[in-house]
Amino acid sequence: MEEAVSPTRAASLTHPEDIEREIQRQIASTSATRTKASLFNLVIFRRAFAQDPSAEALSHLLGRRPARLILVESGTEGPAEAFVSARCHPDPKNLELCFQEIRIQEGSDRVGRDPGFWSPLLIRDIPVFVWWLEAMDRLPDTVDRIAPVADRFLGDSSFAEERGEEPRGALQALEADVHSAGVPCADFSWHRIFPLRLGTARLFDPPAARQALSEIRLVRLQGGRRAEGLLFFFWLASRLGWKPEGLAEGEATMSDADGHEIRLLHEGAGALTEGIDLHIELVDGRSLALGCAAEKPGSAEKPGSAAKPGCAVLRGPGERREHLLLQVPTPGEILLREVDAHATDPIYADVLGMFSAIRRKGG
Amino acid sequence: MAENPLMRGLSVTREPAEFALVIFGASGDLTSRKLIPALYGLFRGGHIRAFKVVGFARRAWKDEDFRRQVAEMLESSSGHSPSPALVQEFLRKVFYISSTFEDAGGYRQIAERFGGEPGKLYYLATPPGEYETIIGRLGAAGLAEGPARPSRAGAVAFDEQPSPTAGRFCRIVVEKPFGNSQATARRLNDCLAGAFREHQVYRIDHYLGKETVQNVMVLRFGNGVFEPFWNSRYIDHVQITMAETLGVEGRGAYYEKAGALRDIVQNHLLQLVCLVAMEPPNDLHPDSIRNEKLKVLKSIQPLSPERVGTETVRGQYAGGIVEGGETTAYRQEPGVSPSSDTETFAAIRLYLDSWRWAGVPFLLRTGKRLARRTTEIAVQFKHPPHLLFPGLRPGPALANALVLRIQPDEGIMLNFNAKVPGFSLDMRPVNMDFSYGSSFADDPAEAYERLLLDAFLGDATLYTRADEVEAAWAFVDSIRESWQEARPPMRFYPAGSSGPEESRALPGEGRRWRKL
Repeated sequence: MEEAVSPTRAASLTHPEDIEREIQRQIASTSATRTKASLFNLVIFRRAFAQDPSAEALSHLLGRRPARLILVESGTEGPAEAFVSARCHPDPKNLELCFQEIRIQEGSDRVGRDPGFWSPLLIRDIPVFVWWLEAMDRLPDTVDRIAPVADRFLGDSSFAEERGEEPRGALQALEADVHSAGVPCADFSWHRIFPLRLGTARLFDPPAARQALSEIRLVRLQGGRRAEGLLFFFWLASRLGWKPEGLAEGEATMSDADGHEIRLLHEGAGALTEGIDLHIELVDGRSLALGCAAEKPGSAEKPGSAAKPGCAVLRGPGERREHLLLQVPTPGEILLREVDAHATDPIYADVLGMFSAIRRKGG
Repeated sequence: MAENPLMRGLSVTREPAEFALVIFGASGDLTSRKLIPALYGLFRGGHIRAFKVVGFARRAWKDEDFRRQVAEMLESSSGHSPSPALVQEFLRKVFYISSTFEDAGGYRQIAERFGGEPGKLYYLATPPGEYETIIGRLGAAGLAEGPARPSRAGAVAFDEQPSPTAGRFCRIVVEKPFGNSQATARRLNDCLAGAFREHQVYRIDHYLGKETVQNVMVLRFGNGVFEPFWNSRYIDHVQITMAETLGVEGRGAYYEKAGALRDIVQNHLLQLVCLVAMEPPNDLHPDSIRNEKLKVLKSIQPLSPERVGTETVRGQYAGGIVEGGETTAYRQEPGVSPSSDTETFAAIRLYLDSWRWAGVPFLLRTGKRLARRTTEIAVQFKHPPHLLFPGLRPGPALANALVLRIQPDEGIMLNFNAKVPGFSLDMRPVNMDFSYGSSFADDPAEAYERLLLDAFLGDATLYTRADEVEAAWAFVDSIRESWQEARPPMRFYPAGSSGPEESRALPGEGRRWRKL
C-alpha cells in the first residue's frame, strides 16, 4: 500500500461538537469525493512518543478500510487536548477511503483518557474496537469504563513482554480483566503463532502420523516471545486434552489423559520472524520437526531452498519432507483481520480458559 | 484417530488434496487469459500447494515448451507482478501432453504419467464441439472414475456428493455454453452421465463467481430486515438489467448463432432471477441451494406464441454513438449476415408460478451497444396502500426501490421519499447508498480463482447442475420457438441508446424501466 497522498492536518480542540465540525471541514478539504463512509471506530490507548506497532498497522489499513481513529495518549503534560486530522487515500477506482483521526493527549490530570472525554466522539451504530498498547497493569483501572462501549478488545501479550512486562501476567490480564469482564478480546500474539500452529497441525495431518499425537512426551520450541510460547503450549494442551501440572520460566509440565508426563520447553526470546524451530519427541524416541527460516527481505529469490522466508520444512515419521509457505502476519494484517471478522476464536477462548484455571489454582 | 484435533479451528481447512489438473485446450485463449493466471494466483496465495498442471493440446510441444508458454502467460496477464522465484516453483508443477482430442494415445499418457495422483480434475477449455469427443475418450480410457450409468429415463439423476475432505477425487469442469437448446444440453448431459456421475461434473459460469453476485444471497439471507417484505404483497416488480456498451467485438460469426437470448438470458439473467426469487435454503450445501434455484426455474411461466409478442421485445443495434465514438450497425459487423435476424437486445417480462411471486413481473433486459455498461437488480416496491399526503400521484418516481448494483460501482442503494424542508408537505425521492468501493478497497477475488478453488475442494455451490441448465433452456426455448412461430418484428435501436423504443411499454401501466 502506497502512502497517503492527502496531507495530514491537525487542530487542537476539546468540545465534541467543535471536533466533529473540524473533522467534516478537514474531510471536505482533503477528499475530492468527500467520502464519509466509516466502517468502524478504533480507539487506541498508547504511550505518547513511544514506539509501538500502531503506525505500521494503521498504514496497512489506510486505503483499505475507512474508519474513525481515536488515539488516547498517556504521559502528556498540561490540559487534555484533542488534535483532529484527516487522511484519505484514493483507491483504484478513485474513490477515497479516509481515516478520521482524533489524537487525544490525556493531560496531567488524565482527563483525556476518561470515556466521558472520548466516547462522545465515537461514530454511533458502527463497531468499536479498543486496541490496548499501554502497560497491562493499567488495564484494571480502565477496563470497566471501556467495557460498555467496546465491542472488542485487542491486546498484544508479546508487546507487553517486549516492554519488560511479565508474559504470564499479560496473558492473565487479558483473561482476568477483559475476557472475564465479558468483552470479547483478541491477542495479536495468538494471530502471530498461527503459522506455527498450522505447521504443527500439518506435521500430524497424514492419517499415519495422527497416532503419534498421543505419544508426545517432549516439545521443544526455539524462537518467539515467551507469551507466544505459552499460547502455543496451551493451544496444544487444549486440543490434545493435556492438563497443566506446572509452569515455570520457559518450561511447562502437563499430563495427558493417561497420566503420562509431557514436558514443554521454550528457548530464545526473539520475534517469530527471526525463525522458529520446533522439535517434538515421541514415547519411542522418534521425533518430528518443523523449521521456519528467518523472514528477511530479499531472501525470497532462492527457489527450492529451505531458507525461503516463511517456508517451513517438516520432518515427520517416515522421513516425510514438506515445504510450506507460511508467514507470520504483520500487525497491519492482524488488525485488518480483526476489524473485518470481529468474532472470537473459540479455540483462543479455550486457551484463555486454561490460564483462568491456572490462576484459580494460584499458578 | 479419524480427525486431526490440531487442525480444528485453523482457517485454512479449505485446502484441496494433492491433484493434477488436466487442461484440454491448453494452447487456447481461455487457458492463457484466465486459467493460468488464476492458478498462479491461488498458488501465490497459498491456497493450493501440492498439484500438477497438465496442458493437453495438439501443438507438438514438450513440457519445457509449455512451461515457457505459461511463463509468458503469467508475464502478460494483468494484475500480477510475478515473483521470479515463485514462478519457477510454479513452472516445476507444469507438464504437457501433445495429442489430438481423438487420439487414445493422449489419454493413455494421462493415465501413465498422472494416473496415480489422488485428485484429478479435467478442464474442458476447448470449443464446445470437442466436448463429446473428450468426455467419451476419458470414459473409454477409464480416467473418469465414474461408473458408467444408464442414460436418463426422463430426468437427470443426481447423486449424493461425497465429503469434499475425502482425499481422492475425479472431476470435470465444463465451460459454457452448455448446449444451445434444451435438446443439445440434454445430449451433453447424457454424454457426461455416460462417463461421470453428476457430483463429478462442474459446469462453470464465471458470472456466479463474482463477489457481488454472491452478495445477493448474503443480502437476502444474512439480514433479517428484507425477508418480511420480499414477496408479492410488497414488491411491485423486479428489473434485472445487463447492459453492455460493447458490440460483438470480432465475434460476429459466433454471435450470429447465439444472440442475446442464448448468450446472456439463458445463463446470467436467469441465474440472477434465481438468486432474487429463491426460497431460503435449509443450509449452504450445494444441492440445498441448487434445489431452490431449480424450483424457481421450473416455476417460470413458458411463453407461448400468443404471448411472446406482448411479453418480449427483440432488437438489433443500428449505427450510432457509443462512449464518444461512432459505431457501425450490427449487420455491418465482420462475420454478420447483412440480413441477420439475430437479436442483440432482448427484453422479457416473465412471471413465476409460486406463492411468493404470484403476479409480480420480472423484467429482464440485456443488450449490446447500449448507452451505459451496467448490471443491476432493482426491486421496485409498491406504493403505500393509502396515499396520505395531498397532491401526490402514484408513479414510478415515488415508489421505493432497492437496487443491487452488480457492476460497475458495486453496491446497494435504497431509494425512499423524504420531506422537502419548508412549510409545504412536498416530498421527493432520496437515496441511501452503499458503495463497496468506499468501504472495502480490496480487489475482489478473481471469479476464476474462486471457482477453480471450489472445484478442487469439491464445492459445487457456484456451479450449475444439469437439471438447472435444462430448466433454463426450457424457458429460453419456449421464447425462441414462439419467436420462430409468431415472427414478432425485429426492433432496431441506435447504438448508444437504451434499446428499442418498443421496449418502453413492456413494464406495463404505471411502470417504467430504470434509466440506463
